[in-house]
Amino acid sequence: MPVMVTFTIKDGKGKSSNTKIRLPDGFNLPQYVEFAMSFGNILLNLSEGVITGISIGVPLDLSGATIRAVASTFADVAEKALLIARTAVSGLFARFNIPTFDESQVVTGSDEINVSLPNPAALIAIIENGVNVGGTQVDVEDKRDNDVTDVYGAFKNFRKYG
Amino acid sequence: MSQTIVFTIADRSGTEAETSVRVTSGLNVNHYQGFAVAFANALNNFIYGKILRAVCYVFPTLAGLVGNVATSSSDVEHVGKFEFLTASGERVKCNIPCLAEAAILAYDSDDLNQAEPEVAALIAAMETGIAVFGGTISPCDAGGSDIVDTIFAREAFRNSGSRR
Repeated sequence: MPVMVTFTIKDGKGKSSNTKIRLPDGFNLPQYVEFAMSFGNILLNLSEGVITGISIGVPLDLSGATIRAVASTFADVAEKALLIARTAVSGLFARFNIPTFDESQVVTGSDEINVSLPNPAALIAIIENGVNVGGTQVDVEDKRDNDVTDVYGAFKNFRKYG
Repeated sequence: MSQTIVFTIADRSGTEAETSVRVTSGLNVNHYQGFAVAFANALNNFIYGKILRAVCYVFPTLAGLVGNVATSSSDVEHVGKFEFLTASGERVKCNIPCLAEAAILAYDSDDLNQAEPEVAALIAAMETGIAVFGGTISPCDAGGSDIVDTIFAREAFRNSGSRR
């Protein structure tokens, strides 16, 4: 699956539009960033708009993961789990909305997720502690680049659908 | 800015939804891939749905762009439409909003002047790629086949919609 580079261009009236380019995989992130900068400058010579954002989407290979081949008959994207976490900066938080939540993992009589069960605990452990990949630590962060420290709230959180 | 990994999950009806995780920036793809596999394993056991894909999104700084300012007359509805042919015979479309008037061939035509340096530069980038440190990256179609030719380059206008 190719890499997708998206350029968001805004006009003088404040309206935005996107231009997308597919690139072959097999290059590293700095190379894709270098391409995006060069192509962005080519676009600016041809466009009278302003580029307000560039995103580079690199597909990841999940063949090494154990993933069910078919969604369960109980699966519904409107049935979500909400996890709320503190970060390294006091007063800043991160939220995770996860669709098709397995409802059997709630505490009986409440909408709180039973975080002592193995499956919720394993997911929360990754959110709190990150993953060590070949000696390099990959941590989960909030939108301000602060490390997530602990998940203090976990709830069933359905969304309106239909 | 942190990297974002987005997991797409499907339910029993095939409806898709996403969940995203922001992770440490500045690492290489292999690190994000390792994280994604570990997270997907834990996620799969937490949900009923099927994880379809994971994509790592990078948002580079715009500091390297030159002359990145919109003119007051620019309009996203005025586009340059490009269509390219790939080695596998597929077509790739590329639309450039806020088209600069200087790119147009003549005012009795909607063709873009492919000899105009700015137009030629875009076509060259699409057909032969852009050199980066350690290689050349050439745009492609959804199947990964390289672009080999330009079918057309023309001016077009999008519908502004009705005003209430």
